[in-house]
Amino acid sequence: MDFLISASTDAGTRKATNQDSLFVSRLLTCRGKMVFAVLCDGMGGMEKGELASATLVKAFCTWAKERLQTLQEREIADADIRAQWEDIIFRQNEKIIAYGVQNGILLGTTVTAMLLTEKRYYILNVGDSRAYEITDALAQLTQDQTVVAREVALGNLTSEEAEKDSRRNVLLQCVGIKEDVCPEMYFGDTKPDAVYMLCSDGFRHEISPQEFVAYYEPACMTGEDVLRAQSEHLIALNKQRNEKDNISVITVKVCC
Amino acid sequence: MGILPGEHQVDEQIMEALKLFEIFVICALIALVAVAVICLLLWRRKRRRGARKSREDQGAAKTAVCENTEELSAPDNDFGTIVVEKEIVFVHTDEVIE
Repeated sequence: MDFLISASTDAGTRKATNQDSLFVSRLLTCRGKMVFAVLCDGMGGMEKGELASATLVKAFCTWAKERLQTLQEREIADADIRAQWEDIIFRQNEKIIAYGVQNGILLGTTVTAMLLTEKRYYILNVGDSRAYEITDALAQLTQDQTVVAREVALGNLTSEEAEKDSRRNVLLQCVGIKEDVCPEMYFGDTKPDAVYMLCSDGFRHEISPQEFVAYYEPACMTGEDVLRAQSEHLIALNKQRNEKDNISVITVKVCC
Repeated sequence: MGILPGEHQVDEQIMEALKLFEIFVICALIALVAVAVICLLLWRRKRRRGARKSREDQGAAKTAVCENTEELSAPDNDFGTIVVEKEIVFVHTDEVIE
């Protein structure tokens, strides 16, 4: 089994800065190949969002370098990943809050991190960035921690209403703002030939699920250049449709 | 002193006019207070927006100076026995919170 990887990001049409940070790497280990990916969306209205997102991405990179080697020497347990990633979130949350207090500013970030092995995927999520699995349909693997997602879960809004609701950007959780941050973890089996996608909210607001499936149809993703070209097309489409936010995406194709 | 015919009726008319005037004054005062409150709220909102824009502009200037977007296709990171085949990184600042 092999993996193709790609990542693209754009500041978008309205914002002068790109506050998103991304990291994706393909690794060869004694248990076969793995992909480790992290996408952080620095908070739009807050100062130095790019600092918060870069700090968290680098913390996850450090984890990969220092801890993944030990972890992959035996079967990776869901509980181990959960404990270690939650620890990263809690520590970085404290650091970012302390930095904000010291400098009298507000800064924060969302995060979606994924470790993809030949057998399983392990995903952590805080905020409204998302992970998807694309086969012949689009499956959303993470749940947004937002006001509208909660309203949809409570039956007060439909998914269609939520997409147009003025509160769609209001987060219930993010790293760097409140002390009681609650990351959510998702685990599952890796599907052969699927495309896995991590994206910021700016990448998905203006694109329909059908378009995602059409653009990233797994059978057509034959090389990393194709994955990247499709991501660039979708970023351009987002900009055409007046997306105001930063736009970022990581894609991983599973090849058997 | 006796009351002339029709004098009583004139008093009642004056009282009624005074009552109407009193109601008019109270309504005018309420309207004035409402307008003042709305103006105050609009002014505060405008001031908050101005402050937020100013903060964003300040952030943009800082970021533009230290922007560092890079794609590493030949990583040299040491992962021990793990071989890094390919790595892509996009960050937009050189700073990290230590």
